[in-house]
Amino acid sequence: MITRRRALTLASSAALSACAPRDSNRVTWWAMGTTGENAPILLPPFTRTTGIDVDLQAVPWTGAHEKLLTGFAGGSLPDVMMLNTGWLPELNLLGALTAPPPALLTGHLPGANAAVTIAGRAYAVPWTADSWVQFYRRDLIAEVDYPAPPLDWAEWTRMAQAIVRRHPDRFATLHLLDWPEPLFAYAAQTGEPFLRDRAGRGNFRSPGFRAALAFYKQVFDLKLSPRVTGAEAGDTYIGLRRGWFAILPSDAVFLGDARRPEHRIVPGSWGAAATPGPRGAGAAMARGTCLAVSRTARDPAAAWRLVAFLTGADLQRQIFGITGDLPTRSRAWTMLPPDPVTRLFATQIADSVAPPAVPEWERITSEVQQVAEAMVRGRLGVDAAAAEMDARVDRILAKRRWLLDRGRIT
Amino acid sequence: MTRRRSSEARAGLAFTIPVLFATLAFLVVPTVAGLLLSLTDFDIYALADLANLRLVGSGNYLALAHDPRFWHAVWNTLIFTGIGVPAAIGASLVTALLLDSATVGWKPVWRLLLFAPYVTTLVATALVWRYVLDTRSGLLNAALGVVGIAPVDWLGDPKTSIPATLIFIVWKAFGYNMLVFTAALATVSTDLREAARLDGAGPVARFRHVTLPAIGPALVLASVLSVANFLQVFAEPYVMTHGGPAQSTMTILYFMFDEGFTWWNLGTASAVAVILFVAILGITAVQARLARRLEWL
Repeated sequence: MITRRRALTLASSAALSACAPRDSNRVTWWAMGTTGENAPILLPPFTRTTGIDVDLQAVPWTGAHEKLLTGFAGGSLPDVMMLNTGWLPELNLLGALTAPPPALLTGHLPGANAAVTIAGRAYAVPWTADSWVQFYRRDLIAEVDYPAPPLDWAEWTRMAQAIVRRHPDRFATLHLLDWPEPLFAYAAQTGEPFLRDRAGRGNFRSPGFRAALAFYKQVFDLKLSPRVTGAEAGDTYIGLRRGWFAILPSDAVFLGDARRPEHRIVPGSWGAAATPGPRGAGAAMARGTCLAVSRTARDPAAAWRLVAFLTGADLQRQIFGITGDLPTRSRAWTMLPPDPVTRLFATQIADSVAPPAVPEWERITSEVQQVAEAMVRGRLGVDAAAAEMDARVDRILAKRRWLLDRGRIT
Repeated sequence: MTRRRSSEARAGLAFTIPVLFATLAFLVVPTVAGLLLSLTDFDIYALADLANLRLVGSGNYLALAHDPRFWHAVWNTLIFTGIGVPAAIGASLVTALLLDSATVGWKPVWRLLLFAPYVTTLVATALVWRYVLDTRSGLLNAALGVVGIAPVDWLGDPKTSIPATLIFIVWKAFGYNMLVFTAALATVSTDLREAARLDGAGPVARFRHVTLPAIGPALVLASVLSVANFLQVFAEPYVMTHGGPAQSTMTILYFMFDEGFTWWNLGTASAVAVILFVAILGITAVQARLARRLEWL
């Protein structure tokens, strides 16, 4: 019979056991996006050979940045975390990361290590490399007599207008208004730095950025892309399959997603081309993810063993097969199918520029995109939008300038 | 005599101290801490190293006063409250009056159905409403199409996003006030209604002079709670639209959440919290005074 006293005893012992130290042969890991959803497939061989259990938590990309900062503030970061490489400066500023063993940093593509290095020191191990390209429906592009989307803005616009003329109820491309990537991909083509004054002020009024902004605005003004956010557009792959638009700018995640049975995108029905630039394709924005170990990890050696396992060439090749995420290890690239899409990504990754290494970068892209959205919806002209972007970014960077002036940060 | 009173006082103190302590620890201390935090520029740099924390006095408040995004959020919140409170109270009052009518059968079933949205998980209902409001395949646009109205981009157009979100919020929240009104209507004396009817009072006159005075206190309570709730709208736009499109559903509380927990500008976020606290306190005080002045209470 359950008496009240016994119930209380049970409850208190349960509470105590919840506080007991966790099993030492256990590593906690946060993995983001599609990779996180598929990570359980990767782990059994690791647990079998090392005897280390991995407590995996899949986190959607949309909430990941918030969750990491809150996790740091609340002292609940996992042992191993998958990071967008652009977030490293922020987490490093917080002192949340430990430096990896040098052995894990050899054999990566040139540039991959640079992306995880801050002030001469690496703070994570590169895991996936990525770029931003345009995926297109071969049939819809061929209809307007182009073999592939042109790589300079003027010719690209002519092609896109031809598609829209042919199908007035459809669009040439899809630039989701809450995605900063398309705008920044165009801006990277112009080669102008995004920040100036020791990364203490915005440089969005530069001629290069304004040209990219004008091109971005024109895509909407000419109705080449619908004015929608991700929440309304629904499944973009289904939109592409149904021909709602002909070109989907995306990163390598497309490769894995296109293979998913629920999207039913016929292999061979699509191709990939570089992002158009003002005079042909130029540099791309460096993208990618890395694996870092938290400073509060209870067993750093076990955590690094997991990172070593996950970043191995064979495993990176296996991940490409599942999600489309491209490897960072040169040896893994030699195992990839030698098709034009892989070659395109290889050239794009080799020719990419890293985003400014400031902790505020995530917020800057978010605010710049907010202004760009207001511009696209007709509230601002190009010059006014660029001025507003600089004003907002200068405000965001005010504290950084104050710290720079006092030599507290470099 | 005095001895007995002092022992009573001791007992009273013993019973109230835990509550007073809890109020102090979980209400007064956080409020004061929030006020103090709003005078600093606590941000991600301060999170990294407390030496980077600066005392900025009224700096956060001045910056907010010059921040168009904040005023935009204030304006959106006022629209939400200005339309939402009358709509929500009107909807609950009308349904409560309908359910109170003697001609309606199956009352418990109706009450259950109409109260169900209030107790259903917000995220689940928001997802369903997103399907209902979908531009291309939504139920609402399909219904409008039948009467020849072109599809409306409910959640995607900054002009319709607030009305669309409001429809959802009112649908979700009116059940609670409906129950409050139903309970209040049960106290209306049948004799009084009958007497008024025999004296020749029409339905409007009966409502105005018999029903309304009886449910007056419930109406004031509902309006005070609804105003406070609508000033703090957050979860619905967060789930439905993420504050978009073009920041058109960004409310004060959403703005505070964004500053505080997305970007860790806790100084700014605390300043917003203090402003909202003072605003709700002021509005509730005005409502209480107005309520006292109204005769029929």
